[in-house]
Amino acid sequence: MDPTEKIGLRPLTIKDLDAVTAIDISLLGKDRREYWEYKLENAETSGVPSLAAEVEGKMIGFILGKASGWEYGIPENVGWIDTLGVVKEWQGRGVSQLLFREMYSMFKKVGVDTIYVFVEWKKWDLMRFFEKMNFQRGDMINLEMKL
Amino acid sequence: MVMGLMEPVKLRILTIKDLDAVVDIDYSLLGKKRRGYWETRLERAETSGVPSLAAEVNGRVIGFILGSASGWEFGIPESVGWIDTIGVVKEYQKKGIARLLFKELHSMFKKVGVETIYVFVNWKDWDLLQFFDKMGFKRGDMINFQLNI
Repeated sequence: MDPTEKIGLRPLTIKDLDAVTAIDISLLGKDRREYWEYKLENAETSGVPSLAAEVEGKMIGFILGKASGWEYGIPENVGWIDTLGVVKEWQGRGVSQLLFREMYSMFKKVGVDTIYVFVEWKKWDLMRFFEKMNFQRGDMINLEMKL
Repeated sequence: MVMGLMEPVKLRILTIKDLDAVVDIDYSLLGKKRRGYWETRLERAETSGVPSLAAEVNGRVIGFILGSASGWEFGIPESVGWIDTIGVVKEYQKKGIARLLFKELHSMFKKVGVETIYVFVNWKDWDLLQFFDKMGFKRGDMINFQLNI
């Protein structure tokens, strides 16, 4: 049986704060409740809904995206994928792909023509995932300054 | 130090009341009206951890910088500050306004405990790359991927 059959997708809301924070802790080992509160509040005005993946009423993953205009020479009609998270026991079973496909079609609906994502060069799992989703290297360079 | 400027430049916090001015400057630089975009940005600026800044000469906004402090995403460590956008009207460019705006945001980041400032620049925006190089930025660990729909 295809395990993705019983997975449901729905828009992520501020009511999911507990669940998202818990998944995040399980993945990163760190409580970032305030951060997520801010992200989820903004998610509702971000042009496209962010998504939750559920199995029997329990959240097993989420994707956060937004549509925005350009900044520093980024063309308009750009959609961003900010974060993607799937609980450990559901990883490697197509949940990310399901979340991404749905977000992709929502981006398409609102007129986004390019999706951007930034990944740390050591996150090979994520890079492999986005490569599988047909992403190519983009034009933006990351600069940083230590304080 | 602001080079070649007779009038004093004043920095202050950017608010939603600056929407008209910011939209105009943005329009003059990019040739495109993005009012809806800026409205969202300025509304959010007030809850973004650090204030964004306006540079004024004689009560007129001549430049701005938008930053935000946030936790990590995709492996970005916590305590990261972002510079989202910086804009200076043409006739005031190359006079140290961007540097003034950056230095002030820098010290505000420091005050709230930001340890690293991140910025993303298109590799063809050489003016911006040169500017951030002068400010002491180095290449970071994040790689940009894009998918054309």
